[in-house]
Amino acid sequence: MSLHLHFSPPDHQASLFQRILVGRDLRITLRRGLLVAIAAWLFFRFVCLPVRVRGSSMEPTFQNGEMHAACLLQHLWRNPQRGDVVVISMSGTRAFYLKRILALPGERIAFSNGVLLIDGRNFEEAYIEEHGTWTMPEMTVPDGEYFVAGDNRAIPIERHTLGTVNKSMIMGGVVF
Amino acid sequence: MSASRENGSVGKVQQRRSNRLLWLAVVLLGAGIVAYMIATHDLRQINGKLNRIARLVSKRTGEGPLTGLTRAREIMTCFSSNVVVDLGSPWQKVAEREELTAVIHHTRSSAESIDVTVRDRNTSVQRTNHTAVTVTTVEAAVGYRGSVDRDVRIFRIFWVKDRAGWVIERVEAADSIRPPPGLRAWES
Repeated sequence: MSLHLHFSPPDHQASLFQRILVGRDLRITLRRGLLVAIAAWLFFRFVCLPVRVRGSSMEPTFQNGEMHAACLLQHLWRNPQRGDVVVISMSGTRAFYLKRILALPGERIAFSNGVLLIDGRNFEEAYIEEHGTWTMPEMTVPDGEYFVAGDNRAIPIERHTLGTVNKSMIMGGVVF
Repeated sequence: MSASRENGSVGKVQQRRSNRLLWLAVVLLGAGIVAYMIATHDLRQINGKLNRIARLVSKRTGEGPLTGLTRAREIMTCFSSNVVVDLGSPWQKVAEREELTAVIHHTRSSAESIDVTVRDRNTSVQRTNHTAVTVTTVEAAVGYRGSVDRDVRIFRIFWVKDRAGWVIERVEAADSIRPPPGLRAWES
């Protein structure tokens, strides 16, 4: 006994609903669907990572609960720059930090009563709303590492996750 | 007549063969399942314990003090007596099970809610000396005075197998974002 499924009736017999649902030929529709699924998987796995913000450490730039997208190819052709908001991998693409790069490898960084100092000079941060009172002794960023922190300086520095991170852990940069 | 008898006996032989093959397949499948269960027994026990710790540390709003104490006691059974927990800044290093229990109890009582999620885990078991190492990513959301603090960290957990099963001997923070030197640890 064989079961024949016929999903490609002549045009004049096919209802509009059926044509929208399966197209003229189910096999072609399935093939196209499979291609779209593979392309979507590749795109979201290797090119663009959807990011949901959880927490307040990047406020006011990124609010808790917002959705954004990170480009995973951004640092293939250029090194991360100061001011870039980057995605730092904690567990593949399932858990990550969203932080801003403040100092590059070899630079000296410090905070003095809320003011960011790079190589001993004041650095104006336009993205900060409330400068707070962060104070941190000067340190040199090791080679191959970047100094990252969040934009919310209202959180006490002791309760904020900030510090140096290896370049290999930076997955990409937030694009929108 | 004799041809049909021959056919019948050939059919019986074939049926016996197929029955034997079926039994062999069932036995092999059973052996495979048993072997898999034995091979992953330690892994499953460790994963179960990790989930249990996450469940016990988590706290819902409105939890009573007695429940908190009971949970702290239960958590104690998952650690060896001389456990060392070094979670990195802002947490202080803890070097004994009783101290750890007190810290967990204190943290749980001062927080309004705690939600611990084990995001990822990778365990390697050394059967020869009954030890194991798990590298895991843990996300915690702690509700405190109306606001929620979130943190994600990678931990390296060292297990040892004793009479009671797998217990944690050491916990340390693995490399992720390294805090700058000279920052004072935050005390809740």
